[in-house]
Amino acid sequence: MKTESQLELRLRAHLAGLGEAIQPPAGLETRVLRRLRESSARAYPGVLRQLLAATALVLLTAGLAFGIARLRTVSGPVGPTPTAGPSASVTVAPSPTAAPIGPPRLATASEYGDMVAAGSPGAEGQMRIPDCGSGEPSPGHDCFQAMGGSEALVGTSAGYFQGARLGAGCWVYLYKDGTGWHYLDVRCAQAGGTLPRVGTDDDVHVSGCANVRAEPALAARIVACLPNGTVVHVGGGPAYRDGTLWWYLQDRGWMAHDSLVE
Amino acid sequence: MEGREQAWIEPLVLSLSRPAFKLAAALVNDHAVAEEIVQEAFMRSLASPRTPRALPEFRRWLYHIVLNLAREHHRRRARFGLLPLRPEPRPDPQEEAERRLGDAEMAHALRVLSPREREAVYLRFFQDEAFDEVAAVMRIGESTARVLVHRALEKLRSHLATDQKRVAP
Repeated sequence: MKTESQLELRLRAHLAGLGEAIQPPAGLETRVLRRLRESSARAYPGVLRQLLAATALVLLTAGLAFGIARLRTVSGPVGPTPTAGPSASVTVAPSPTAAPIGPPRLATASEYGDMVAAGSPGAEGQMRIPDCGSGEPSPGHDCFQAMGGSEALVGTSAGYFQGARLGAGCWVYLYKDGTGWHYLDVRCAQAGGTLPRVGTDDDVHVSGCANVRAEPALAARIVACLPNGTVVHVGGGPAYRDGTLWWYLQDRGWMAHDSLVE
Repeated sequence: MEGREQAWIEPLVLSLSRPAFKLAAALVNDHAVAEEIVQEAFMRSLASPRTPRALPEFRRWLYHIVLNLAREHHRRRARFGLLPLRPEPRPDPQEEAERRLGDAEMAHALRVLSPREREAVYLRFFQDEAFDEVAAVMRIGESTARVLVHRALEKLRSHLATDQKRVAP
């Protein structure tokens, strides 16, 4: 019992010290109140809310009818960018026959070096942070750092490698042509599930629905249109065709990169 | 506040933001995440029609949300940790504080506790709550809260004793 009391005292002393070391940031209450105010500004009063709900219902119904009609009549190429349509999934051909073109493989050391050389400046420019050089991200010093070749993947005329900035993991996407690797995009997140990578789940991010195509090409047949928030499994890719980066969604088909990132 | 219906929460924000932040920061070891948790906890409190408005009940309600959000953060981080995506910022502010405080053994020992045990210990010894309050915040029975804290202390004692043996010649 005496030992336990000593332990409790020691624990209390330790946690009291910890409590003193944790200083809430200045203006915390103000920021909380501001966020609450913003949220309450979005909360409309009863009648207006009902009107909005009714309008939304009408629009949704009209959009759904339009979307079904559009998918029934579509025969030519339609761009892979999100379409302003319904938020309902309408599948014309449920089983795409296209297989991933060129299975992805790990990048070789020299490929990885070339990808980092081509991708890092673009990623740093997009994120507006410097390169970490020989250091690494730390509090007060946000910078970009390539994380090694073990996660760098090469698909068909495209690839990606892993990096990091302060508090987040990043993926840098590139395409390759006769002159070498070229930077396309960088995306960072604190958790998986928000960045397309081979072998992981991802969410579809569109305002309407996003086209799934039988092949990674703008002219390829549309086999489905997936609504926002659909969880898909990236089973292959990336492939670069028609100036677009494509990902193969398992059991579905190909989707443009822009519809898979926030 | 924009609407009168939200005005009730303002004094609660002013009185509870800081203690809630300390609890969140102690649980997640990251001040930015802790602030996000506190903001989100107040947002959820405001959004729920079941949120109590009296201070003691609201405090329990808020802390319970903070615990849930901290747990969610750890779960996400554990899943994410498998993907080697996120390098740890160095130095970790809490570790640095603990190093300065000189009880690194205790800091290390606290890490062997399960999330629920750690929550109970932090509520009991960091927030200085009575057992019935620990139980109310965690929404468990008081006896369960006592068992959690007791088990946590046993673990700490055992871990600290092992550490001492390891250090002793």
